[in-house]
Amino acid sequence: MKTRFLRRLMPLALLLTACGLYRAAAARPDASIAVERQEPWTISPRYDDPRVATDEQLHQVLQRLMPPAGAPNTNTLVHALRLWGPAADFGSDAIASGARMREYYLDDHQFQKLAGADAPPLWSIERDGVRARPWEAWDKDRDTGSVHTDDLLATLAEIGTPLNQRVITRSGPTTVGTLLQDTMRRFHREQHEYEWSAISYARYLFPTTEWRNRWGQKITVADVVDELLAQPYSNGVCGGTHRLEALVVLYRADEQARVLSRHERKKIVARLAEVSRLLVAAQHADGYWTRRWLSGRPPATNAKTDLYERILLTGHHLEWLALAPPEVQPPRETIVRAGQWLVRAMLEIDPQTLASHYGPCSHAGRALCLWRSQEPYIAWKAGRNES
Amino acid sequence: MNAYDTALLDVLDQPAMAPHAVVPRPIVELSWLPAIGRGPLAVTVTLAAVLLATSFYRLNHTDLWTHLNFGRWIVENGQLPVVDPVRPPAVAGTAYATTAWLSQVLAYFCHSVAGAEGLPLAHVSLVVATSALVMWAVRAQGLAVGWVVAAAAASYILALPVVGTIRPQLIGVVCFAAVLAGLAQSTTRRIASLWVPLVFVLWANAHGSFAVGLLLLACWCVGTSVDAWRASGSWRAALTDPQARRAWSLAIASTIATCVNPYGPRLLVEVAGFSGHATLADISEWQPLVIGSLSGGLFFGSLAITAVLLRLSPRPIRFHEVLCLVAFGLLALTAIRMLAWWALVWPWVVAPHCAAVWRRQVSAAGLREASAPTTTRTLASIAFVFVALVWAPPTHALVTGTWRQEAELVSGDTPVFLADEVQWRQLAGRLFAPMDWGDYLAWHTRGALRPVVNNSVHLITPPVWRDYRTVTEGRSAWRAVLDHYRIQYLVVSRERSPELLSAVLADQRSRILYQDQKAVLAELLPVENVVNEPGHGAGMGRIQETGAKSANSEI
Repeated sequence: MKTRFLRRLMPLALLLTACGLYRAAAARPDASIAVERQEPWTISPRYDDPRVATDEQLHQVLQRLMPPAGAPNTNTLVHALRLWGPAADFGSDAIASGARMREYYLDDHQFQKLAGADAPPLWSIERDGVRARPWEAWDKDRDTGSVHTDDLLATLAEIGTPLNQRVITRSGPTTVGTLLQDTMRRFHREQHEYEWSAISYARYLFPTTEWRNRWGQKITVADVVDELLAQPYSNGVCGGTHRLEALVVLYRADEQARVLSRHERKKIVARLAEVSRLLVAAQHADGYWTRRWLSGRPPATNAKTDLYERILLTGHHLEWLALAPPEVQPPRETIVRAGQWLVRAMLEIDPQTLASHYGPCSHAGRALCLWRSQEPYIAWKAGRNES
Repeated sequence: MNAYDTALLDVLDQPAMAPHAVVPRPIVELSWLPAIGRGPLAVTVTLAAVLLATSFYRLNHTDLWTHLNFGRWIVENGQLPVVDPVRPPAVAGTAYATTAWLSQVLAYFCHSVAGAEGLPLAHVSLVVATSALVMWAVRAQGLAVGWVVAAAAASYILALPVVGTIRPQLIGVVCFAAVLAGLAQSTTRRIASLWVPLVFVLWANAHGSFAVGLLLLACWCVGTSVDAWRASGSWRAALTDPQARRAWSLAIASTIATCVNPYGPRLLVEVAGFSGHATLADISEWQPLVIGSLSGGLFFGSLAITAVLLRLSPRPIRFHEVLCLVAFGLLALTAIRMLAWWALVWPWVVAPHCAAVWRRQVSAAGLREASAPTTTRTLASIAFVFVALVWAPPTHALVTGTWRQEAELVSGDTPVFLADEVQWRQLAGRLFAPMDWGDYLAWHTRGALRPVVNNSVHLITPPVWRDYRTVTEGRSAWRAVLDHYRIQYLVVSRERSPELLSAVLADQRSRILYQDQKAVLAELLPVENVVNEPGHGAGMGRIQETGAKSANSEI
């Protein structure tokens, strides 16, 4: 009787044994994200065409784009740091050097020196990791908040900050690597802004291409590319141009890391080429673009657009085009016309407008430098020495 | 044709309850393992397949989160709510009976023990249990195992449009299948009279659908009596027919059993009035079947098969079968949700006729030889179950101890990231959100956010429902309605309410706290707090007060 009962239990025992063995052999998901490199990928400019901007024009434009003095604004400083780089030194206490601007983001003591002791910290350690304090319209300290998701991290990547770089927050020290890991865990496919996230991942993450976010979703770089391609540009920041920049950065980083599939690379090139064609058609005879570039028609001569808006669009487009591969380039004539218009506009724009729209204008300056394959600080210094 | 189908055909000829004809042809004989025939193997494979097929459904936010909220409230307060505990008290509506309190508590218990993974585990368990009970119900009618398996498969396929949703009704479905088995068993064994009423006790506390169980009993009783009358030609004989008397006593005992609940007999009245709520008309699952839909196709397809089978069947058609087909067919026609009951009744009624038609055909061709039990089949069935367990995501999580996270479990439209943000910001207060999202957000804030409208649509008064539509459709009075309800936080679905989204982005008194590609979360400021700040929308400036009268006066 007992033997019969035990015999009946055998299938269950076998099943449980098999499940137990499977459990012992099953791999446990690893919470940390493997990042193979410490240094971000460098993406160098490809072209040097003095017809876009001469050395002298470059110097004149850069002279207007010195980091602004006065109360700090995180977004303005991000743009200034991105333009001038951490090595810039203007020989004046009134103008923040590149190192000081970099420290603003990496050391809370420096941040407090510039933003004031009462300013809430730029980085805070939340339950989902280290977060930059977001810019919120009603916040009295909004000027020192981060305007775009992951824009600070993307800028740190662009200026070559390694992942083991220490970041001193008010709650304690951390590293840029931790900032990257935390933002990757927070990333999801419904994120509202992902342009700077994509740039950060391309520069820091490659050749790693997939990870799990804190909600357990598997994220791949292919997902990020598809997201950039899927959304209409009209919804994107700065007329959708940062999405184009993100695509170019992904493509260029992949030229070194070789992790994207051929299909993904082809999709990126096809999209950039399509935009390039649109830009040729949408360029005003003077050389600029407006927010209506998506329509593929040039703006009417009497169209009312602010000068700063034209600078914004033209600067941003020239910037991504300077890094883009040759197969997606419009005729050089288009670039030259845009560059020369940008030089004129940057020299004409009144100081108040420039100060209040430093970000877009800095993109214009950076675009001109990229088209000359020159570091802005070096170009500016060379121009100063000559004069 | 796959192995499963072959096994099915092989066992079609086995007579019910008959011992297997032993043909000593062992392939692998292990003395320490019991040997099984093709029938048990087919049953095991079918149940494993049901487990696997069900395991890929994600948690759908129909009313799942409502029930979890209710379950939590009941557990934390140790009593049943009198009004909707999720919504703000002022708009929570009138008193009602919590017809699903037991399943709400069980769902909350599942979530407490195994996290969100506990819900899909409960889901697959209930669906597998339903299939097993359908098999038993068909087997109890004296059919061969092949028909048992075919009936379970047909039932699963018919229920496809509704089987993916985890909700208290699933416990009702299990109970319904058990009652079908009990009714089939009651013709030969008295024990059904004891346990079927117990099923109704469970059912009445777990879900209001016990009413359809009573309907089934009514069909059974009337049908049995009519059949007895037809057989004897006398109503007196029909009344004293032992089968009919057993049926009626079972029905009476079960009806009394449904009164064993916190509300007593009042529950029957509450349930009877449920489908009369006007707001249900706007809910898709309460709308009639459409022939062009999957539900309609399955239903009308099954009707066509029924017509052919009944025409061909040599088996006499019993009156309870007709009553069941008519009653549950009409129910299914009135509301998609009712397809769940048709999916159970239909195979139970039709399988004996299928078997009769088949038997007539096969007896002409001669019976095939039955096979002997072997331990190879035992090993095969263990292997099938093992593969299903490690392949099905919820049981894989159980086996490995690696629970999946919520974003991997919920359906694509669930506002997971918004809920995370809301938790991070520790928001509390009155919320206006799409009704299905409201419950989810209330769940994630442990009731701190209280949606004005949620999935308990039967508890929402028509004026509140009208106001809900005014806002979600972005009509001109949207802001006035929200002010009237003193809403603090507004969640807009980009896809469902594009007009409202445009209006919110342009509204000076709406602070955008969070947005993703699915939703926008805004804090609504009272009039006195409005300041001209950058980023407060484009500044339409004037608040449209027109249409304020549309808001009801329940506040």
